Amino acid sequence: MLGKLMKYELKSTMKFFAIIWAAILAVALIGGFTLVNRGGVIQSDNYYVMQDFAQTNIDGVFQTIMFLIYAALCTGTVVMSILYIVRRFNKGLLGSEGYLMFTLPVTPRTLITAKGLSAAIIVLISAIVGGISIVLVMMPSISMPGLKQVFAFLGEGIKAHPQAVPAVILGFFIGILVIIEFIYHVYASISIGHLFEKHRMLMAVVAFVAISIAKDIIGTVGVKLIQVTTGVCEGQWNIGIDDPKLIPFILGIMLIQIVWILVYHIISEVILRNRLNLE
Amino acid sequence: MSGNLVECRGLTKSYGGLKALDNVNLTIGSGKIVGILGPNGSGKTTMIKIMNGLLKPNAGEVLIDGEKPGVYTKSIISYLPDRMYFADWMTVEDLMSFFADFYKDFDREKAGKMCSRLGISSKQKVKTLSKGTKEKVQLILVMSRHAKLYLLDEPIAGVDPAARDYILDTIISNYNTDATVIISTHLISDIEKILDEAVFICNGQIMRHDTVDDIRETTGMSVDSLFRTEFRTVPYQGGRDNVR
Repeated sequence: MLGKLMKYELKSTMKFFAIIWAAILAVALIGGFTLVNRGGVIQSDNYYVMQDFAQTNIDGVFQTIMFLIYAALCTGTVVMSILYIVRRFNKGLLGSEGYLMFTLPVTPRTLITAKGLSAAIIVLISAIVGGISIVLVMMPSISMPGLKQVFAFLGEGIKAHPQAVPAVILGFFIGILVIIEFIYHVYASISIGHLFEKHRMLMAVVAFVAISIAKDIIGTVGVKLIQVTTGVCEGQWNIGIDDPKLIPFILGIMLIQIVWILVYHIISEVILRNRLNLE
Repeated sequence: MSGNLVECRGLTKSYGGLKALDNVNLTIGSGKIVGILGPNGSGKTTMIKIMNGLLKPNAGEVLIDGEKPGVYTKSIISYLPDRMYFADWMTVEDLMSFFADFYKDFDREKAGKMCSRLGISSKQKVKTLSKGTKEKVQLILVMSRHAKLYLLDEPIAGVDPAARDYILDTIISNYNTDATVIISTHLISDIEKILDEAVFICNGQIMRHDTVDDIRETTGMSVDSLFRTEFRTVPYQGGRDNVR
C-alpha cells in the first residue's frame, strides 16, 4: 500500500517539478555556454577567474539576465519544495482530500510515511538538479587539461586520506537525513496545530518554532554526549580528516537525526490516529 | 460480535461547547436501507464521520461489523462525503485506478460503463468537470464497490430533481443487496420510497428509530409528513401572534 500511495503522491507533483527542473538545467546550460563564448572564465595558474562578467554590452546584459533567471529558478525551487511539503500534508491529509485518504484501508503510519518519503524524493531530486546545474554552468568553461588536473588533485587527496571517502559518503546520507528530518518537523508541527479548534495553521507555526528551540537545546546536549563518548578532541569540533574518531562521530550525528525523525513521526502518527478531527 | 453491522454506544461529540452528538445509542443490522433524517446541524454528518474514523468521539464508541474504525472497517465501508474529495490533477481514469488499487471490492468495469453511459470520458481531468458531473463521478465510484456498508452523506443535497432521480436510481440499482446503505439527508420526500428504516435525529439525540412500515402504520403518516410535524419550527411573524 505504501508504494501505491507514493505512486499517486509523486504523480500529483512530478509534472510541475519536472518543468522547473528542466528549466533550471536549460538555463544553466545556456548560461554556461554564454560564459564560454564571452571568454568570461579563463584558466590561469590553476585558478578560475571570473572576468568581465557584467559588461555593459549586449552579451553582458544577456549573461546577467541568464544569471538572474537561474537564481530565481533555484530560489523558486527551494520555496516551492517547502510549500509542497506543507501543502501536500495539510491539504492532502487534513483538507478535503483527507476525506478520501483517511477512508482508505491503510494505517495513519502508512499515510504519513508515504507523504514523507515522496516529499524527500522531490527535495532530493531538486538538490541533485541544483548540483548538476552548477556543473553545467562551470563545465563549458573548464578546459580539458584543467579538468584532468581537478581529477588528479582528487585522486591524490583520496590516496593521502582514504578515510575521506566513507566520510564524504556518510556526509551525503546526513544530508538526506537532514531533509527528511525537516519534512517530519513540518508534519509534526502541522499535526500539533490540528489539535486546536481554531487558527490551526498559526498554531502549527508556533509549534514549529517551539520544537526548533527545544531541539536546539536537546541537540546541544546530544552533541556534547557524542563528543564525550567518542572522545572527539575533548569537546572541540575541529576533527581532522584522518582522525579515527571521525566516522563514529558522523554516525553519532546520523543517529541523532534518525531519533528526531522517529520522534516527529510518532508525534504526527499519535495525533492523526487518536485525535483526527476533519470538521 | 452481536450480529449488528453498526453499533453506536453512548456516542458523544462536542465542538467547543456545542454538543453535536449527545449520548447516541443506535444499532443497525445488515441488508437494509436506512435514512438518518434530521434538520441541518442535527448531527447527521458528525455521526457518519465518526463511523468512518474521520472524527474521534469525546465519549462512547462505534463498532462497525464488531470492530472499531480502522483498516478493516475502512475496507468494508464505501463512503460518499458531503463534499468533493478528489484531487484536481486526477483524470477520471486515474480515479478508477486509484479505487482499484486500494479497494479489492471495486468493480472497475462497472464504473467505466456507468461513466460512459453519462458521456464522461475517462481522459477528462476532474477539474474540467462541472460540479454536478463531479458529484456523479464520485457517486459512481462509491457505488461500484461491493461494500458491506455504504455511508452516503447528503447524496441528493444541492442537485436538481432530475439529478436526484439519477442518484437514487444509481444507489438502488448498484448497491450490494447483502449490504446496508445509510443515507443522511433532510430531503425526505425524495428518498422515503427507498428506505427500510428511518432514524430521526435532532440536536445530537436520536428521537426515533423505526421501520418505515411501522411509522406509517402507527402514525398514519408518511415519514416525510411525520418529520415535518415533529421538526416544525414556527417562524417569527413580525411581532404578530404566532399562528400555526
